[in-house]
This record gives sequence, C-alpha cells and structure tokens, in this order.
Amino acid sequence: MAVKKTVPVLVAAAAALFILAALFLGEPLAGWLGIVLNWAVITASAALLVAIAALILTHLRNVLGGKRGFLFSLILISAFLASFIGALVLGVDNGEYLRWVAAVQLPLESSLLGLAALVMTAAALQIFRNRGWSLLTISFGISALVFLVIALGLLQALNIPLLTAVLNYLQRLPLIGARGLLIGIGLGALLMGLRVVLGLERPWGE
Amino acid sequence: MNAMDIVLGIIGIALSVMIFSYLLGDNFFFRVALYILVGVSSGYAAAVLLTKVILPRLIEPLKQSGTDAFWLALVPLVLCLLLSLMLIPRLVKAGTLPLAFLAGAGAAVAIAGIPRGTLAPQLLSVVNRFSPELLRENAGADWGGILEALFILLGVVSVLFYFHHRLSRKSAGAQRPPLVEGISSVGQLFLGITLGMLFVGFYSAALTALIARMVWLKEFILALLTG
Amino acid sequence: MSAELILCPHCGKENLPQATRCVYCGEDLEELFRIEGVEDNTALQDEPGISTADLVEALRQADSQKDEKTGAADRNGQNEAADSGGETESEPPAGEDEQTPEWLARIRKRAQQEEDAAGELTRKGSSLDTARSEDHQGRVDQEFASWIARIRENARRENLLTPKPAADSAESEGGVPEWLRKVRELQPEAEEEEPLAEEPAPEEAELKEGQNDAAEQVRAEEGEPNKETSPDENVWESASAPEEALETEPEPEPVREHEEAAEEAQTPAETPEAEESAPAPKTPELEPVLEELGLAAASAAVELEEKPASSAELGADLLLLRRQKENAQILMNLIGEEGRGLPPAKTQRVSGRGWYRFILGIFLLLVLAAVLVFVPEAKPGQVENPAPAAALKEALGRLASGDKVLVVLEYQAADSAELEQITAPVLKALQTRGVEMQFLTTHPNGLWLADALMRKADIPAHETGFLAGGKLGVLAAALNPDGESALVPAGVEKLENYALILLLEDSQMDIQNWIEQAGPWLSADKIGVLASSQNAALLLPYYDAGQLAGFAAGTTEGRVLAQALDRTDLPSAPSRAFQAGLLVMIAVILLGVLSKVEADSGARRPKEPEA
Repeated sequence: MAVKKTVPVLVAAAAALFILAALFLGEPLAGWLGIVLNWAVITASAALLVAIAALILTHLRNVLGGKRGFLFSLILISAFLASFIGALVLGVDNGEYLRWVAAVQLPLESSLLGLAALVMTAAALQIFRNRGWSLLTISFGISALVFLVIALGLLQALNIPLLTAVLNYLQRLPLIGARGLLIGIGLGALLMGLRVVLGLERPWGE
Repeated sequence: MNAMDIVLGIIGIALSVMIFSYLLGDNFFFRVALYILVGVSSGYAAAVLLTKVILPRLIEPLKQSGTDAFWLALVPLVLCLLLSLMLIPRLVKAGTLPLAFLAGAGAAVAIAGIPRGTLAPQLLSVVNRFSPELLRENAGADWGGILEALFILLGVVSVLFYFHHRLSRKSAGAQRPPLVEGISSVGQLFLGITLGMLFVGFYSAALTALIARMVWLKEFILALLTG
Repeated sequence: MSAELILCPHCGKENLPQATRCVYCGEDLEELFRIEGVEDNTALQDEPGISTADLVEALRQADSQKDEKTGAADRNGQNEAADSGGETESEPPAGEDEQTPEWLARIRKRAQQEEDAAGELTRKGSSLDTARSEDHQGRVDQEFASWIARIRENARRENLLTPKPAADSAESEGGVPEWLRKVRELQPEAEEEEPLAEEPAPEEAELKEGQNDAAEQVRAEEGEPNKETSPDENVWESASAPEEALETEPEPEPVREHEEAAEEAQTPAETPEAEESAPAPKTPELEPVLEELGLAAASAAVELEEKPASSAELGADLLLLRRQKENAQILMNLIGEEGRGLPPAKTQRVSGRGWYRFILGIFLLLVLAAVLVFVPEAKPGQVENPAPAAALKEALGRLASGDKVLVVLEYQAADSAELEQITAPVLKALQTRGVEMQFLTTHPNGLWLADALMRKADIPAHETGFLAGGKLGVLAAALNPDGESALVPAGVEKLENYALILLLEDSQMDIQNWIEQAGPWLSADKIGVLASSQNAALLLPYYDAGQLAGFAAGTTEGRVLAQALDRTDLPSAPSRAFQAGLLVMIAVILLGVLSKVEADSGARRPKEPEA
C-alpha cells in the first residue's frame, strides 16, 4: 500500500527535478528536456481528452438511466457529436465547418459576457448594502467611480496638460496593489510547486 | 446575404435570446444554451487535440517502428493508456502515475518561471528605485522619485501584510497589534484601488461584448430588411 | 367583560376566553390547539429570567385587574352585560360544544374522520416548525423574555403612579379575539351560521371606540401604508419585508414607543370622535415574535404600534397568549395552506432579486439600444494614450519592412469583439508597412478566431499554428534553439528571431505564461500586449518592471492607438454606446452608495431617542 502511494510521489519529484536540472544546467540535458516536455504535452492533451470523455460518459449514463435532467444531457451529447464528428469528417481547418462552430460559439460566448455586464449592473447596486462600509469597500467604490470616469475619455479629450498628468498618475495608482497581488500570487504558486516536488502536496489524489 | 447566412444569423439570434433569458431567472432555455455551448466547444476541442497533438506526435511516431521516435513515443503511449483506464470506475487509480508526472512537470516549470518572470523583476523594480547608481545618474537625490519609490514600497509591503495577516487572523482569531492593523489598513486601501480598476476593466470588456452583440443584431436585421 | 370569561373544567375557576391552559391549575382548556407533530414551545418556561414566582405574581396581578374591571363595569351600570356574562359563567363546561364554531367543529370532525388529512396538517405544522432554526428561536425567546420583563415593570410603575379604570381588552373586538376574526374571515359561512360575538354595552363600546380611535390616531401619526410614514416605522416596515426579515431583529427600543402609544390610547378623553371604520386593536405584543418566526403578516410591523390592553393585564395574559397566538397563527396558516404545496423559504428572496436584476438589465439594454439607434457616432478627437500604450506605439513604429512579428492569439470568442477592435488597425498597419507576420494560438478556438481577425483587419489570410500544452508549450517554444522542435508548429522560428511578439490576450494566466516562461529567455522589449480592458491593472507592474515593450488595453486605448498608426479607416466600436453604458454604471454605483447611506441613517434613527 505504501508503495502505491510512494511511486507517484517519486515520479512527480523525478520529473520536476529533471526539468529543473535541465533548465539550470542547459546544454547537456537540453535535448532530453525537449523530449520530456513533449511527453508532458502529449499526456496533458490526453488528460484533457479523457476529461471530455468522462463528461460525455456521465451524460450518456444520465440519458440511458432516464435521470432527472436527462434532456439536457441529450442536448449536450448531440451537440458534442455534431461538433466532433463534423470535425473528423470535414477536418478541423475546414472553412464551412469552422463557420458553423463560430455561428454557435460566438453568440453564446459573447452573450454570456454581455449578460455579465447586465448582472454586474445589478450587483453594483447591492455591493455596499451587502458588504457594508470598510476601507476596502470605500476605496473600491471610489476607485471604480474614478476609473469609470477616466474610461469615458471625456476628461482626456479636454487636452489640459495638468489634467492629463493627474489622470496619468491616477492610472498608475493600481500598480501598487497589482504588484502586491502578483507577488502574493507568485509566492503562493511557488510554494505549491515546491510542496508538489517534496511530496507534501498530491494534486493527483490518492 | 445568402440562405446560409440567414440560417446562421437566426441561430445566433436564438442562442443570444436564450442566454439573455437569464435576466428572468435560471430557466430551461438558458440551460439548453449552456449545454449546447459545452457540447460544441468540447467536441471541437477534442477534435483539435486529436488531430493536432495526439495523431502527429503520438500515433505517427508509433507507425515508424524501430526508429528513435518510435521508442520515445512508447512512454507517452503508456501514460495515455493509463489515463484512459481512468474511464473505468474500478481502475481510476491507474491514472495517478501520469497525473503525478504532469503535476511534477508543471511544478518544475512554475518553480523555474515564477521567480525569474514575476518575483525577482517585481521585487527588484521596487528595490532598484533606491539604487545609488540611479541617484548618481540623476546628479543628486531625486526627491520626487524617492518619494514615489517609498510610496510604492509602502504599498506593496502593506498589501502583502494584509494578505498574510488576514490569513493568520482567520486561522488564529487573535487580536492584532495596532501597528499591524494600521499597515493592513493601508494594504486594504491599495488593494481596493486595484480591485476598482479590475472591476471597471471587466465591466468594460463585458459592455463591449454586449454592444458588439447588439450592433451585430442591428446589422443583421438591416441586412435582412434590405435583402 | 365577565361575559367573556370561561370556567376551567378541572378547578372551576375563571379564565380568559383566549387561554389554552387554566391559569390556576394549568390544565388544558382547549384541545384544538394540540396539533400532532407541533412541538410545545417551552422556551418561555426555560427562560432563566422568568421564575415561577414571577409567573404566579403576574397572574395574581392580572386577576386583581380583572376584579377591578368587573367592579368598574358594575359601577358604571353595565348590568346587562354583566348578567349575560353571568349566564355564560354559570354554564357548565359541557356547553362548550354549543359554543364551538361551525368551522372548528368541521375541522375536528375531518381530523377524526380522515387520518390522512390530519397527517397532512401535521406535516405542514412540522415543516413550519422545522423552518425555524434553533438559533433564531433562541434569539426570539430571549427578546421576548426581556420584553415581558420591561412591560411588567412598566405596568407595575403605572399601577403605582397612575391608577385608572381598566379599559377593555384591546385584543378583542366585540369580545372576539383577533386570531378568531382572521379565521372567520377565512370561514365566512361559519360566522354567519353561529355568531359568537356579543354586542358590548354602550359605555364599553364607547370606551372601545375611543381606544380604536386612539389607535387609529397613533397609526395615522406613525404611518399606515396609505399615509405618511415616519422614519422610525420605516425600519419596522423594512423589517417586515421578506428580504429583510431575517436580517432585522426587533430591537427593544420600539417597545417603549409602543408603550407610550398604549398610554396615549388609554386616554379616551384626549381622543377625537370615534370612527366606525377604525380597525380593532390587536395583540401587538406578539407581533414581533411572530414576525421573527416568519408567521406574521406583512402589515404586522404597523400593528406593532397599536394599543395594547391594560398594561397590568399584559404581564398575566402574555404568557398564555404567546403560545395561544402561535397556535392560532399556525392553524390559520394551515387553513390557508390547505391544498397548496409549501413554497421553499428562499423563493421569494431570489425572485425579488431577480426582478430588480431584470429591471436594471432591461434598462441598460434600452439605453444602449437607444444610443445605438439615435445618437450619431462622434469623430474621435486627438487624445494622448497612457504611457504603456504610447510605448507600444513606439515599439510598433520601430518595425520596418521585412521584420518578423509573431502574433499570438490567446483570447476566447467572448472577447473577440473587443480584441478585434484593438488589433485589426495594428495588423493592418503592420501589413501596410511590409512587416512579416506569423500567427500562433494556444487555444483551439484561436484557429477560427484568427480567420475572423484577419478578415476584420482586411489582410491576406495567414496559416495559424496551434501550440499545445499551455505553459509547457510556451517553454518549449522559448527553448526551441533551432526552430525545429517537434512541439512547436512548423514555420515558427526561434523566438529571439522575432522583432516583436505581439500577444493578443484576455487571460492573465496566459500573459503570465509568456512572461514567466518565455520572457527570461528573451531581450526586454520583445513582448508587446494588446489586451482586453480587464487585464490592464495586472499588466501595469510588468510594464513598470521593464518586462514589456508596452501594452494597450481596451477599446478606448485601441482607438487612440489606431489614430496614432493612421489606421482610422477600419470600422471601430460605437464609443457613444460604450460611454452610455459607463454612465449607467456610475449612476448605479452612486445609487447603491445612497441607498446604503439611507439604510444606515434609518437604522440609526430608532436608537437616537434611547440615547
């Protein structure tokens, strides 16, 4: 049982250490680094395919079992088959096929994002009532208002040098918080990577 | 405008209306639209991965038996087979090995890339503002620059402070010293400013998409009317 | 008054008609309220602040008040009423059946005959009980106990200071309890068949009318739904709204107001002429509790301010009335719910939110549509871009004929409109200048989005390579020394060979992949970004650290960049509609701030009198 748990940890550590060594040592391991990266890319693509297959199988079981919401599963499977078989028959680069894909995906995705604008408008009305007053919400509100006004572009159109300088300075202000965010996120991701290499974190599950 | 354009246009309008029906609440049409989106995009993605990655990089080398490419392709083949066994509920554990390999590779790339791509440049850009060379180049102290550098330093440190102590307070629930509280407050201020800009940015993107959809609808209707 | 009293079948002593238990021996007086499955509410008994001695004392006090009242009625010559009351008193308990209303008898009969129906009733009662959380119930009980203590204290003080003739119970109109009237409204035929209410004596009626009128006056001052509403009551009204009900607890302060209102209402001499249509005073003490339990009607908040019975009676009656009222309310709910399914508790809340989302969404859509149709597009003025966009313009300006640019598409279809608006003029400018472009994408959708982009930019179609593997793929491309890596699509050279790598982005993760995996292998000014406006904030630090040649984010900067590149011939996004959308958002945020300020001030106001 212990071997079963140890082997994946060893594989992860070995893969990580090899790539790190190749990156830092350079030339001696450069050829092998390309090969290992190739294996990783193929495996990542296969993992994505397996994930899609699992999704389809789950919905297929819903349809066959007549479970609640099986109609939606049926729609999903039909859409998947139409898209997948169409690509295999016509080719993924076929113009007509891509036109059909675009005709379905483009309205759906851009409408979803457009819907987000409508939902955000409603959310903005409630944000202070739900979150209350705090330094974070107050600075957020003022910042949002200031950047909305800047985004209007009307102040810039006035072409007043002093105003332009002030606007440029205001637009640089988020740099501070963003830098803090990036460093924080970077440190978190780095620590997570180290934990995986050291076997303290096992994202593949047990 | 030919018949195909009209058909595709009507499909586009129908799908858009289904999505916007969410304004009335989560409903059947909205869900149908989402399931169609998931189905079509996953089908297309699967086809692209299969034809652009798996076939040329895994299957093609395996056809050239005896070559280096053949032998090198056996490793990903085994990994892919183990992954595909995950589709059988009893053999889910078979996938741990390829997933561990992927996790290790991803971790290594992150460990190598983050310090060089984000941490070091971002920290150095704060520290370098106090560099003696910079002062020499400016023929004396550029107090404006130093003030700005101090401002940025304070901001970055306070934001990091806020993150750290927010987490530690969550875990410990202890009362924080006034100094820590004060620095965290400054961090909140800067974070709020950044989040405000992010909010406006996301809203602008969403608004642009919404306007683009409306413009498309307007143009389609006009094209239909004018033939 | 005495006509309304009933005798306990066990000890033979007088009890109020509303009582479910005898106040002397504790035996059940009314079997009806024993609903199977509904737990007895023992929270009051468990309350540490209320001892048995207090209870006994309060009951004695109530008894003495009743005696006083009866005496006062006799002194005022209410013999007729007293006699009829005496007849009622002298009736044995067996006569209870005759007094039972038709609807009650029908329910009992049905419960006996139909076990299933009884089970259904029980289930509904249980589900209502389950709906109350223990925590919530605890709060209510605590609030209730402190309330009782205050009322009792007030009553004692009042008795000591201002002894006055006891008024009739305000919880009944014509001797009919409020809960019974409501039930009768649901069962009109029962009322017609067997009216229970007796006409009160003229003086008593006058007194009651005076009370009613006082209550009406109080209500008028404090605001009925159709009248001017004072800010204090706004809080209570908002507390009664479905969305706010769970968030707002009844504060003790309004109880004081309620007591003051009661005192006002108890002075008929000060009241104007009585009005026939004045609604009957109810049992306001219980309304907040019911409201907390989710059983009160929407108008309960206003009723809180109505006149109670004599303060001295409150302490005694309240203890029994509370459970009684709850039971009555449950029964009313059950009758109302007969044949209907129980709606989920949160449905109303969600639909409420849905409606204002719908209204705001439709409003924004209408504004945008109106601007798109009626407002002509303005000619863009000469505007200066922020530093990062200006830097990108310079980097693009340095490109000469024959230079190679790698265009990397990493955006989704959702953002295609925005990215195409920004990118198309740039690509057109590069094409015109003779710059050699190669297209690469890391997203499957990028393959067809690239075609759309090229059409939009009005440039010849280029083949688009697919780079799989995310950051692994980007690292492989960066490490591709001779341009012959199997991982990198054919035609893509060593990255350092490109004069510029132009990233078209809507995802921070993808941007970081390139900066972290490819950036360290490239010279500083190799990467330029055209991004969605949502990425602007997180691109600033990278530009400030010198890791980017420049970036332009959003359609506004894209428009200025197009102007700088002399590519205004391509159709651009409608800027007026965009500005209108931004203005709507500004207005909504300000409205949100104002509503929060108003809510805060509304919440503060009731506390000020106490302070």
